[in-house]
Amino acid sequence: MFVRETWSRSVKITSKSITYFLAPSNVRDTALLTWDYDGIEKDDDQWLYLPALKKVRRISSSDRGDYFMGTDFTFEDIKQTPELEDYHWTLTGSESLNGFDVWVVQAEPKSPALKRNLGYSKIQYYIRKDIHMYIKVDFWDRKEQVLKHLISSEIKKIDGIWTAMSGTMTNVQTGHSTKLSFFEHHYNSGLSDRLFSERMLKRGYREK
Amino acid sequence: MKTIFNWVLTHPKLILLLLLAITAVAANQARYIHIETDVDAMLPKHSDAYLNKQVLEERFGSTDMVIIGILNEKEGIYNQQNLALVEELTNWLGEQPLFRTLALNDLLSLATIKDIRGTEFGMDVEPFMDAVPETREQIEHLKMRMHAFGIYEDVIVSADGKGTIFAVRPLPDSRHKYADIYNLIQNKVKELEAKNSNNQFFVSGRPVIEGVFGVYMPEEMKRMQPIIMMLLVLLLYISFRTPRGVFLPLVAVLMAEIWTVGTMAALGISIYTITTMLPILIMAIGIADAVHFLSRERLLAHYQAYEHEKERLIEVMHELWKPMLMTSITTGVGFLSMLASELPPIREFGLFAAVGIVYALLITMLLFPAALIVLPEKKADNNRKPLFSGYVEWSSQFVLHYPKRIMAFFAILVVVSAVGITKLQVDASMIEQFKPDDPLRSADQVLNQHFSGTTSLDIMIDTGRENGLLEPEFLQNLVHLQHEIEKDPVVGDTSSIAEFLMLMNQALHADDPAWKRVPDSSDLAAQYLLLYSFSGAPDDFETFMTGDYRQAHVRINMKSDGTEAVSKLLGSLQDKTDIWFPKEQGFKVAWAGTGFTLHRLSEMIIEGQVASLTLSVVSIFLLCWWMFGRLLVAVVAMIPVSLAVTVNYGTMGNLGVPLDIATALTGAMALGIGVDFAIHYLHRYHEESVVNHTHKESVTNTNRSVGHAILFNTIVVVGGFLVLLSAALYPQMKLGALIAATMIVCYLATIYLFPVLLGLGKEKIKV
Repeated sequence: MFVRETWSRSVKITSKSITYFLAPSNVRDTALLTWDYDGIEKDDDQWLYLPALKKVRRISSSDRGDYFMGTDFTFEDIKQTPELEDYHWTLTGSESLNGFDVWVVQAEPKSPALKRNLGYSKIQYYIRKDIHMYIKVDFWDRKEQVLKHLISSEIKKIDGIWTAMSGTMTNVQTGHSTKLSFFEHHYNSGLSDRLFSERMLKRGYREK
Repeated sequence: MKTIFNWVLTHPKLILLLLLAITAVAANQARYIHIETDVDAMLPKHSDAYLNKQVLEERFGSTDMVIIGILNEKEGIYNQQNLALVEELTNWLGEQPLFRTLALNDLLSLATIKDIRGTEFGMDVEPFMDAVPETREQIEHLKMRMHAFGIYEDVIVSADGKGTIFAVRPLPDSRHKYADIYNLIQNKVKELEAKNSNNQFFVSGRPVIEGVFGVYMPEEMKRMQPIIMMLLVLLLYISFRTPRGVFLPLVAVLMAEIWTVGTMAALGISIYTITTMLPILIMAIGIADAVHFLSRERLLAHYQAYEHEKERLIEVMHELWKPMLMTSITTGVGFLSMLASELPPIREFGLFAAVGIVYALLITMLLFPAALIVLPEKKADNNRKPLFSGYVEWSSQFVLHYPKRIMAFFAILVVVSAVGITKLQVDASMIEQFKPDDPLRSADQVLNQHFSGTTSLDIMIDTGRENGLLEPEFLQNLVHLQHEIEKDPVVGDTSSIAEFLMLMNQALHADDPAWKRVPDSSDLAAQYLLLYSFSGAPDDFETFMTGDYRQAHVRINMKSDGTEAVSKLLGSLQDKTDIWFPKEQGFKVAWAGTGFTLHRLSEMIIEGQVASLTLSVVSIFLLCWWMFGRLLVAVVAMIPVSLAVTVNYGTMGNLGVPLDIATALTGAMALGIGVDFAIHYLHRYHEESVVNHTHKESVTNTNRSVGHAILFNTIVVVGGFLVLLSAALYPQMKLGALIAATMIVCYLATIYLFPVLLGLGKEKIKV
């Protein structure tokens, strides 16, 4: 199990994030810095600090359909909001799920290339009508077999923003699953741009 | 006994109905018979090869991959057209529901494998081919990287760039669909071949091999059944020339066959390659009972010894039940001795051959009297002499005139065979069960010539502790191990996590080849793997190590599945693995994979062979002793079969036919069938000499009566097994030819050698 500390800051066209690994011990102090540019013209920039090598290394950006760090989430999944223009969206109905009224919304990647890139042929969201947050997502693979289920829970309002503090992704084909848990989530805490630099990457995580 | 026979004859219709009803039930059951093509299922469940294979599949995924190769001798694969083909086929494979294509190692091709590249700033993990390259420079770059990277050279692309491979993994537990997989791939390849006439396509890999077995086996059974039935009809017609003489024995053996297969299906016993021969065997052996019954009935009818048909039939039953039971028992014991083997296919073959023989005897004793009494009595054609009379008379004369020549002939045979036995080899190869010109076998050969090999051999090393495989010393020992294994010419390639960590180390040191070595510390290795997971997929290495970094897997590709090569490799590595991965420090080394399974299989074939042969010789000898009541006679009775078995193995050694799962059956089988000849002969000779005939008279009379039956029996068995020469699979062919040859030796020894031996000690041996 990995424990990470992530700070992120969104500027108009770029979001920057820095992640420190706290456990397991053999990767402690490894840190990842990402500069994410909107649009497709420019790939994301990623740097990694490896304490055993005492060096910062640049790493290539990943495809959206690639799995994120040994988890069942792909890079696309972990972003939590999909690129809306890449899918055909259909409202297929309403139902009741876990006591909530939800809309059932289907998303189909627009082209075969996108399907291949994302690794999905279809995604189905169950979106709570009251707060517009999804509580369940189903994924179908390229062979149109059910692939994964994502259950979002512990949805809380933090600093006025609805946030899911827990997400469990289960791959029904491999049988393994990943649980993401968030702690001490804060918004708009006024992070400085200086935090997202190579220097901070090397310095490591310090309790503020 | 007579009361039972009487009852049978007074309730013929009931008996016939009962037989038909049982046959109907058995036939219904037989439809559910399961065909097993898994080589691992041929091992006993407690065998380490079987158990390790389960562990391997659970921990690292199966290494049984479908392999498709494309070769283009002229243009090679580094051109836009063929790279587009690679992409097309890869995408198609990725979309097939029969395959597991979740991780990199589920579907390996030039379009999926990833390059680990050092850059000025760090490390890039990228597919060698993200899209089909368009320019000459891009293609050259791909080629340069592919061969510089090294790990996939010969594994995915041949070193000369003329061919490339696709390896795809079937869904777990989808063995029953291997035949479908084979058909699916075959059709796709045909379609691609039509479009790309310059390329040659080759398909192999264990799922394909097993799939083809699954297709061949039922086809073979269906194809051979009518052939052997026609042969029986022909032989029966020559011998009896009446519809009932043809029809009744045929019905009897068919019933025995259906009962046996029905019993197997009801008990959940699977059909293996060798058990496909069981129906033929039961027909060939079972027919002997039927023929003995009819011949005797005819003889008595001919002499009009009994006024009423019923009395005559009772007499036939009374006369025959003992020798028939005796021969059935000895044959049955021959087959039951196969239970001494640990291998389920051999055990079940022996067991159900014995069951089939019991059924055949039972059916003969019930069906014939009941049917004959129901059918209207028919006057036999009394003028016709039995066929082969001239030959039988000649053989008696020959025996009596040339005893020395006969002795010399058999002495030479024994010497030649004894030399052959010393050359006997064992081989459990799967691919060599196909004929050399079989498309699958030649495809496999081509793939093994150009690439790293289609046979898997796997080593699993448990380091005994979490993160154990990240230790520099362990990784270095993995590298040593791989070097050592790769020295063997039969090994095409080995791969493990150590190779990838070395390449990452190099990539992160500005691609300096000097750094192509294992990471200096466990932490560094862990951080490399973490780093890799950002740009590669994390499950890229799931086939090489477990998530807790405790268990490592070394994958070996071999160019042959011959067991001799594996045995040699295993033997030479044992000491070294003990030093590199010492047990005292908590390491555990386990072998698995097709190569290892076949190695264990061949070991067990030998052990089982020795055990079952010893068991059958001893038990048949004891049976003879008990039946004839005299030690010396029992010894004499064993001579023809011992000779035949010696010749059997000697011929295999001389002709270079290895002992495999099929040919291993021949010894005990020949012994069980052949001893019948001796029993019939000695029984008759005894009867003749009791009434104070001279040796000469006894031999002539014995030949006249049982000589015919034994000859007929030999012709049926030899003919039946020769049908196997038309088989599509090698084991059946070899077994057919061997048994046929062995039975001929057995016949010759009985008819020619016996009288000579009996004549030598006529006074002493007096049977």
